[in-house]
Amino acid sequence: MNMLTRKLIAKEFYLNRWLIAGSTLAGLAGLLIAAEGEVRFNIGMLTWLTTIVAFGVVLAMLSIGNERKERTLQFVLSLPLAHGDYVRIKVIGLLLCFLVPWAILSAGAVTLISVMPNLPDGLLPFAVLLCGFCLANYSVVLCGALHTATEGLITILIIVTNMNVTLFIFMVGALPSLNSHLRAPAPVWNSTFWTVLAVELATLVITLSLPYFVAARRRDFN
Amino acid sequence: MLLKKSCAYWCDRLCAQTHDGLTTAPGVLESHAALKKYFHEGLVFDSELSIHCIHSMYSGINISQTDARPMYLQIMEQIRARIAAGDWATGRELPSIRALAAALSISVITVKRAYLDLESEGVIVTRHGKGSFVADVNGLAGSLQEENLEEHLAAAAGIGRQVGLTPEDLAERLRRAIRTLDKK
Amino acid sequence: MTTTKHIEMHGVRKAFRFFTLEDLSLELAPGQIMGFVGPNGAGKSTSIRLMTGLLTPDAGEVRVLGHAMPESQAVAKRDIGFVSDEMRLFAHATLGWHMRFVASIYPGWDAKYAQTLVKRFNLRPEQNVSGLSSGEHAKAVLLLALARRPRLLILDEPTSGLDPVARHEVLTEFMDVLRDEDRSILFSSHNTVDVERISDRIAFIDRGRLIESSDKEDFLERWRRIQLQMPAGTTVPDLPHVVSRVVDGQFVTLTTNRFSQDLLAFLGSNVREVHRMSLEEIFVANVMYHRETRGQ
Repeated sequence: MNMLTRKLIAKEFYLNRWLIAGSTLAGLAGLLIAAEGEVRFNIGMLTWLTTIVAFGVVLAMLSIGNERKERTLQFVLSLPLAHGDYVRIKVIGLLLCFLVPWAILSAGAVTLISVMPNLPDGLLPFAVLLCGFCLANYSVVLCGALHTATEGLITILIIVTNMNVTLFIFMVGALPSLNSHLRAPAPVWNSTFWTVLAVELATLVITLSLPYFVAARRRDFN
Repeated sequence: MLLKKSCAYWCDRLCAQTHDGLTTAPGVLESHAALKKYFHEGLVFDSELSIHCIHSMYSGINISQTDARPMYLQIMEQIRARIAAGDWATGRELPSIRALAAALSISVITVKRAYLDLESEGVIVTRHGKGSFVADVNGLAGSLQEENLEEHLAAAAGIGRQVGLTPEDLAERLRRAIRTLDKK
Repeated sequence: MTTTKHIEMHGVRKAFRFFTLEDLSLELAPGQIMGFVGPNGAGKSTSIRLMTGLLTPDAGEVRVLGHAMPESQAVAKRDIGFVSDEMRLFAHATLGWHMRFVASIYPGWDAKYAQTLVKRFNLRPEQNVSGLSSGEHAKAVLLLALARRPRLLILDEPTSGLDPVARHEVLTEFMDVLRDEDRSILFSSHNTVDVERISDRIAFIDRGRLIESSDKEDFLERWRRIQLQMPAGTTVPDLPHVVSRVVDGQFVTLTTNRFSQDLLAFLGSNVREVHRMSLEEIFVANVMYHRETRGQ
């Protein structure tokens, strides 16, 4: 990784430092509330989930949408790099910025469920899928933001991905093969689990590689 | 060579201090004047000088864009004036075209034109690879005065015609003017 | 390598929905400063974006510092300082952060010179970019480009929005760049007074076409306004190189773009006055003339 790439990724972290820190803390707070169990659990996990999803959206929006609008894009493009480099570095940088809080909060959720006696370990598979979903959802938002030029489209994208959260919880959570084991004392890693996980991974791969083939080939930055 | 470099270094320091508002310090002004003396005597001319130092050296040369005369002519006049007055002595090296252009914030091409015209007039001499130097002053002062005279005579002839004087009338008026001058 | 041109554009074409840049050919030699002048919407910014790799030409060739653009822009931009009046720095970082950022990317960064510029431009490195006025922001962006000492500076309206003192400071720094005959500057500007003063070459552009590109002194020498008083009943014959003719009774004003003593001699005693033209006057006359001949 050369100096320019390192510096640009460091810049993403630096510019978003408060967002990253704040979201991590908010998510951890949510986990602490959830630790109390039952009602508090719902509130806490909702906070945790909302934090991760919202953080992803704001991160992508701020970094890409604003860069375009605020004309800092011209400044970045005056640096010694090609369009393709810019897109690649953007993807890596923003992914890493998301991964840090996501990893902490996902680990936190898994730990919470495993450790706390009042929380059945049967929740674990669903929790893992939920974490995976957050990551996949973020990469969809990121990919979309890199390919759309207008604010209108980005807003639509954000609304759709927000709906996805609810859809995911209700649809996947309602799948009998997952649902029935939620309150089990031990986690059940059945085929449904692996299928959903695979779908999430595939989404991740597609949406993260698409920019390399499409956005990176953009010829005009007006 | 060492003298050149140390002069350039001190000039830089002084100019930086001057710019920072220490202009009123008498010591600074004196040292600056001393350095200027070195420059004027042709001991030091170094393109390593900071731009603001060159600025202060040539701040007396003022090129106005609101003046009707083109910029290259103004430069030529100002240089000729300094040479005729003796401020720029025979043999003194002129600033390089780029250095003067930078000091006056005027395009290189304009300064180049001024230098070329001055050379064709014989006011300066350019030695390829070495720079431009003030040509023989004595002849210059004389030829400048010659030019001056020709200009005035041409103007007088023009006005004389407009007013309707004959050549004899004009000559008589000139003699009268000389007599008036002699009386003073 | 003083024989490589710093900018070369040949027959460049770029089409947009409502505007087309047509057959643009431009050259900038090292050690020169070129002023790029044109009305709004003429295509100055488009041309500059083609030079900096932000746009890809539909036809023609763009080479900057010997590199083909936009293909080799990553390499080329190591030595190009590009500043546009639309460019913005990151609002939530300080000027000092930007200076460290740029310094770490470009080996040519001159820290001492950067400090000098900070003082000269009256900026504070610890101040957040969001707190800078538009003039201070413009100076900050210029500082970041100048302190790298790039071989080529491409500037889109560098002095717009600057107060007269700041403009003077900035122009002084530009001329300092030109002390090195291996460095060059191309800048677009509406400020014809500044362009007239510091440019070596001038290019006029209007409605997507390059009208004329020549040495500044050449322009200033070739263009004249000649005021004539014609005796009653006579008219000025049609002459080549007369770009405009305004008749007011006996008084006729001709504008020529190929002034010569022969022309004066031909017009003879009818001539009352001959005026040189400012770059602004030349520019307007030139644009009007070309629009007429193109039937626009």
